[in-house]
Amino acid sequence: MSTRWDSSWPELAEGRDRSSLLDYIDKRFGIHKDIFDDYLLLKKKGNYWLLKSSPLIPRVTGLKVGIVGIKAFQKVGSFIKPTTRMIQFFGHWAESAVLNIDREFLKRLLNGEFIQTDMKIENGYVILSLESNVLGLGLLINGEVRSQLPQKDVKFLTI
Amino acid sequence: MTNNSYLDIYRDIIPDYKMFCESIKLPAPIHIRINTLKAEPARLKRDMEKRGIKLKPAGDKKCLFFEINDSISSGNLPEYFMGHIHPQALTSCIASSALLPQKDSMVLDMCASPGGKTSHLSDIMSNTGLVVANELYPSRRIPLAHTLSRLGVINSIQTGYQAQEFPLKERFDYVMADVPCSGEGRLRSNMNQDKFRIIRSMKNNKLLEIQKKIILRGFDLLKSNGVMLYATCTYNPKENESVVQHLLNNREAEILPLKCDFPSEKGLSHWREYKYDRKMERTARFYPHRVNSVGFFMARIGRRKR
Repeated sequence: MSTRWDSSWPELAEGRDRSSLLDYIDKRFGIHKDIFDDYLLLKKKGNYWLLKSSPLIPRVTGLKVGIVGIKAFQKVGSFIKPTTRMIQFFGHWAESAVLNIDREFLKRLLNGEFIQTDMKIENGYVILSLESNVLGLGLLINGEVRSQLPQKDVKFLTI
Repeated sequence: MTNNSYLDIYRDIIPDYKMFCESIKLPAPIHIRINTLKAEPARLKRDMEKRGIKLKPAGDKKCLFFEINDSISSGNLPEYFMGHIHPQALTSCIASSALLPQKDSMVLDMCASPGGKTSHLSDIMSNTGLVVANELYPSRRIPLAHTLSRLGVINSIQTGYQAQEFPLKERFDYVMADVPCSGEGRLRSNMNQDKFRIIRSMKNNKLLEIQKKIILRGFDLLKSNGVMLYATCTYNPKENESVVQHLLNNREAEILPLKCDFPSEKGLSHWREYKYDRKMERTARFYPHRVNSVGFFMARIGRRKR
């Protein structure tokens, strides 16, 4: 018997939809695709959520839902950006595009500065890691990195 | 007499009432819970203490609850932003530990916002199984969603039903029913509780009716071997023992023993004209002069064995 999904649920992102996003995460950050094998990827209006896969899920698909799991990718203009919360959760698996920063560096980033780095990688997102703890994302453009951390959440951060 | 003299109606049921009165004049301490979904406790503690943030163990066996200096705004720490810690009243932390869901189980949190207990349930289950976080009010779903995503809760879905009308489509292994209540337990000097709201709620039978409906629905949503935790942050027996008694009178329910690492008093056998089941002593009353936090009531409930 097929599972009945309430129309409030985001739809399952499978096939190329799923692999294109996970390929990007793998290629950019070295977070292997198979790490996501235990997770469902769901999409709605250009945004994507990750939900831990469980045999219990078919039993609740008839419920009207608001949010499922955590938002993993969101549409920003014509681009799809990984979310801070997804990177905070999976970022410790990353093997590339990780920028280790100290508190002074973080303060400057949060002040809106573009900071010179010696990262020899293509322009794009980098994972900001504070004392080996994943903070979120920065954006590297021509050797300079700027904060992509959500302003409202880091505005009053005590560093 | 307390500054909150209407609490004097509990003079006969709260032990060491004078000490209780003294305790609620003091500010409630700030407690944090370490979120093991994202942080390694020993390392986190070491890193925070290196920066001069003293973590005083609150006394749980797993050593995940700590008191921190009240001059520190825990919500502004990087550890908060990264989801490594969650500021939460100690007695609220006890609730999820008392329910103690097993890994891979199906859990419902009927009144989930702001998500402290929900995220703690997911933490106990190591993000396995499934947690349904239900919250009726749209404005309260915003902090709920924020808490769950910040803490890396990835085994949950969020719904918006009236708790007392949650669909009976599926049965759950565990149900958390931390119901709307008058909130008397939160009356401490640093907590911005509206006393008039509390007094109004105490006189308002509508709240009692909702609590009774929620406990019945929560019980109906349990599997045959399922467990429910009924909880309030109030001292009022009409919102606590009377509501549990209502369940016992209307369903094949049983009060189960409740184990916890913190001092509590047994539930009441009677209050005023009300007489309660003798097993009501298995429920737990938490008072701020015994556990330095907010007042709480908890009852662990299962189906009666035939």
